[in-house]
Amino acid sequence: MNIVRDIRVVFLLFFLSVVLISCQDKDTAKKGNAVEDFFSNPERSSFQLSPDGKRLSYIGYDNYCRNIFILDLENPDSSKQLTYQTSLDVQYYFWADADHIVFSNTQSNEDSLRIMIADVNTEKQDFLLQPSDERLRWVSRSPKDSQLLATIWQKDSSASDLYAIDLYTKTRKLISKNPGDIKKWYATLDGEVKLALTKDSLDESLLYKPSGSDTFKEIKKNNFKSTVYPIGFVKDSEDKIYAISSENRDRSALVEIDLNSGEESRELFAHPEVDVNYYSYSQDLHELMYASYTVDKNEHYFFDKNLEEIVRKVKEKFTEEEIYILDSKPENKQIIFQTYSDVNPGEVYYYDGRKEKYELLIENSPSLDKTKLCRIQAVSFKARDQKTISGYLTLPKEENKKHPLVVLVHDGPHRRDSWKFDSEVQFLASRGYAVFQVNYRGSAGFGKDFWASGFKEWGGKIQTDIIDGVTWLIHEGIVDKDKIAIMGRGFGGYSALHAATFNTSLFTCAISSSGYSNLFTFFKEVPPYLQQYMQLFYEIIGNPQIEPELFRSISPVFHADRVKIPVMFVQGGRDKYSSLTDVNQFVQTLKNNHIPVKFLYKEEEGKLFKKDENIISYYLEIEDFLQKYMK
Amino acid sequence: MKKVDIGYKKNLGLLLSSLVFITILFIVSVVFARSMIENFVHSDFNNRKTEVFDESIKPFNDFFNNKIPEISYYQGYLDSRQATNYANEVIRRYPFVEEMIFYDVIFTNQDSLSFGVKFNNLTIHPKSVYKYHLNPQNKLIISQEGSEQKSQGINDFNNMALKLVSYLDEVNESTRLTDDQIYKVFYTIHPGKIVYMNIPRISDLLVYKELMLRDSLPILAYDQDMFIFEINPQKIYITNTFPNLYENIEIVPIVKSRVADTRPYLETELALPGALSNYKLLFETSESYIAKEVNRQFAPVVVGLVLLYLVLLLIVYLIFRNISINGKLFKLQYDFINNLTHEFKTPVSVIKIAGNNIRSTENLSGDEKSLYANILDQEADKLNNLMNKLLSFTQIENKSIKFKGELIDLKDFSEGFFAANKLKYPEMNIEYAIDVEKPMISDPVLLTSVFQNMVDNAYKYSDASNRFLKVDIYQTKKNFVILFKDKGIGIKKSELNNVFKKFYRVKNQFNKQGSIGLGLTFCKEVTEFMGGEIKVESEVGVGTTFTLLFPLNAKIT
Repeated sequence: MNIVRDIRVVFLLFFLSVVLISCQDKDTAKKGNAVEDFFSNPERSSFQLSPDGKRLSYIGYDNYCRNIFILDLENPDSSKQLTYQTSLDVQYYFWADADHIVFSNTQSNEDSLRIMIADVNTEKQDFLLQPSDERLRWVSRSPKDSQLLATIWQKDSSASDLYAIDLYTKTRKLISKNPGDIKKWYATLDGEVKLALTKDSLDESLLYKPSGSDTFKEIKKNNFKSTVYPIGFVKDSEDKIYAISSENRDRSALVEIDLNSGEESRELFAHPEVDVNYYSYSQDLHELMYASYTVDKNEHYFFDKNLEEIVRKVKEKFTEEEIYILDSKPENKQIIFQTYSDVNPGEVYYYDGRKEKYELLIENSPSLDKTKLCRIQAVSFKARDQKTISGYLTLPKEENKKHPLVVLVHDGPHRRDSWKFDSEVQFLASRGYAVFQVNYRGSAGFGKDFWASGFKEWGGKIQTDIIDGVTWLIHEGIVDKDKIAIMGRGFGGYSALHAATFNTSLFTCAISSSGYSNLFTFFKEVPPYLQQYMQLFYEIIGNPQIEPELFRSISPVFHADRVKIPVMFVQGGRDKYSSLTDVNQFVQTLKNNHIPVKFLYKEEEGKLFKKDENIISYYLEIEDFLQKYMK
Repeated sequence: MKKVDIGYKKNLGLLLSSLVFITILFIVSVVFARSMIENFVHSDFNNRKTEVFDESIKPFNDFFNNKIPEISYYQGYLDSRQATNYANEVIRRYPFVEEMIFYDVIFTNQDSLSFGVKFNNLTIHPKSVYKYHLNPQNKLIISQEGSEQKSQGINDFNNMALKLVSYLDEVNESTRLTDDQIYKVFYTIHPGKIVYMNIPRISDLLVYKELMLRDSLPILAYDQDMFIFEINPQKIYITNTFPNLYENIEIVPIVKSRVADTRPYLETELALPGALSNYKLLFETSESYIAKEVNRQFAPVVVGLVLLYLVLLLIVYLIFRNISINGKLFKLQYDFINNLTHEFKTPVSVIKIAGNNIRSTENLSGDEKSLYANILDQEADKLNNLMNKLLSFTQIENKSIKFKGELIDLKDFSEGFFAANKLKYPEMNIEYAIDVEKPMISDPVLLTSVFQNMVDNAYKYSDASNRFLKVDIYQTKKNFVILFKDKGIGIKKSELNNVFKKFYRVKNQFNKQGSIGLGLTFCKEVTEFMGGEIKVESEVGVGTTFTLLFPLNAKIT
């Protein structure tokens, strides 16, 4: 009898504690931000000013489709919706002139080519080009004699030809047939194409055609490691261009190049530590507006004094935030900018310096409780070979304890993390994890030596950089050495799988989103029209034909037997860089070895999930997985 | 003495019949268990074969499900060196793979190739062909085959190319490879042979299709890898997980006909799957082998049944013993009543005779008067005594009286008591020695009756010539000790335990009448009632010693 009663008491206690625990869970969920708060898409995007500065346009949603809206800045009453798509999305648009907008509307990027033109006044829409199964890249978006310039090529072909497209007759005219290897054409202000870039395997050449001449001649040849990337012609000049160049320097800089000699004539801006990673060049004015670079956070260097003055004014108002310049008309003191900081997804404003008036256009992630967000700090550490590696560390709000850690490895490797508002980081930090992002060697933006030091280091020093960063954090006493997860997408996923395969003692669990589990497959994905780039891939990763042994040793799928920690696989059915067959085999091996596996498969998605519901379920599953194995 | 039918029925027939019944049950269950186990083992023989099958086929499944698909990991990048490594691993790890042929295949729209399977613009050309096998010294032998028509496995290559090309017709942008399609297109499985081509990605298949259908494409070439595995199922290592059931397991051709006319006692078989399907697993066991297994399983059952049988027998015996004890008890009570009646009868008849004599005699002389008065008084005392004894005994037994202790000076008490008994039994030599300091707390009446019983017994069970009693009374740390030593006939060892039992009398010439077998029982009850204990030691022909122990510190209640 007594025993029975005891058992009953134990059960009751157990039940109560379960109830309490589940209540607690609900409470924390209520207090913190929900997954959907982090990953909501802004309802308005692609803000642009019309060439005359009288109108402001953006892409908004109507009938769940992306449509173009016009704000009339002088006559707010005549603001309107320009397009009424109900089944197609506006992919991009631009102002051809003060009254016309050219846009592309398709269901997805893979659909056939559809270029439309709309008259802003009459709202009349028409095909600028008849739909076709081709691909197009704009060379000049500012019309000269009502003609735009574009290169058009057959899908899956590498030869692109240059066409002029007439805004009124809506016809296209072949201007120049591609001699074979021209990748990019450059037009001067008066619409003449004088500059072209060719590329084959590892080398690229800059071709120049002076006025009156009909043949291009090579003025510059570079290998893939030192690049000269033309921006546009210097104003009132036919033989000088602006370019971003890493020729004869480690960090790429903004320079002026004399086309006659092919030599660099002037260095406009360079930063001693990092590459110039962005520039703004006004197609209308043929003038450089600013260059930007990122040491820890994104910063601007202004060439245009008006713009610098406007931005200085704006920054006086937004002292806590940084800004991105989305569009500007410095001559009219107009600017569209977005504020942001590590703990603020930011807002988009239109500012008119003449009236000193701010207009809020959209607030990003409005439902997010900003007080719950966590600061991101820039850190750096020494790798085992004494190379300095930088990164970012975000600590969760809980104080005075060693945090469980999620190492978030960026894709690429030729990309970088930077100080900005990052939903994924904030989401993980809000769930109580410290987040560590590493700009491992091979990352972009730190000069070409740093980039090249990552060559042939897949599965090698790139991975040890990540591990060295984690051990450094452990030695600093910041993180709990028994709770370390590694996650990432693409190359980050490869890093996670590599860690799960070869470093099971350091990491607790791994999450691979479309991770390259098999580098043979990864190589196979280079489409035939990009075969000329193969040499570059061989240089960066290795050659699977010559070094299959290396590929075997660094491809996780061959070593699935060594995995000892729980792994979560996320795979989109349309992802091309890792095949479902490989992942299935990987998952099957782990299951056979009784390793906990979670497999999230979305047929309709690619490498990066696009649909809201899939994004939400992706992060819910991650939350669940981490909670389960990082207890 | 006349045999008395005491009327207590022992009913041994019932016991006997249950004994017989249990024995029959035992034999039947043993026989039944034996046949059950035999059936069980036989059906096990048929059922367990799948487990042997599963276990033995494991390496093959591992090879088929894990090792073969590994070829696809290379996405066509396998070259002769890599293929050799792969073949070396496979052939050594999976002995049932006897031979492997590697086709390094190119899918191209190049026209000028000397040899290959051509479909429209697509040529499927075996660039090189390698054959791998182990020689008897376990060395891997690699031989490069010519890629001409006559080379080994060329039919398999052609078939595979044909299958793939016809599948290309179905492929379009939205195709997703299902497991079923993968199996149908990229595997060809014949008995003893597996042909596998690495599974390209859909985009590759689309390119192959383009190559096939479109001309005027630049010259492109894609690598594919194909392997032919020659399988010898007889080299599969059989894991006999039930060596107790299967004496012999063999892998034999599925069409094997038995030549020998001696069929084994038990035989069963199981066909092997897929590429092994030209062979089957044959399980054989001889009669003696299976009997051994039956016996092995039967032994514990038999032991269990025997134990059960023995327990039942024990129960029957206990019932029998109980019945016979009850019988004895019944007889004792019967004797008791007999004796008691006799005991009561004697004084009553003496009183009756005395009464008659007094009535019939006219004048009683003074001598006669005092004689009869004495007789009457004596017999009445006897009766009274008898009844007191019975009464107090019953009362003590029923616990209906309470112990009334008072201080007794053992010296005074003993002197009085033994003086009286010396008068009562003048021919008995009574000695006593007393060495106590404290007075004892006890009930004097009960104590007297215990003492009296001791003295009476000593008198009764001694030869008339040797009536002797020595009483020692002394004090230890805890107890008063009172010893009664006589030189009587003594008690047999086997009967020592029984002397304190109710109605029990040691059978001898000394107690033929005048005893009801209650004396010592009474003493024990009374002594324990007063908080003491009683023990007996005895030797036949030498004498008996009764020891009474009373606590020093009893309480007055």
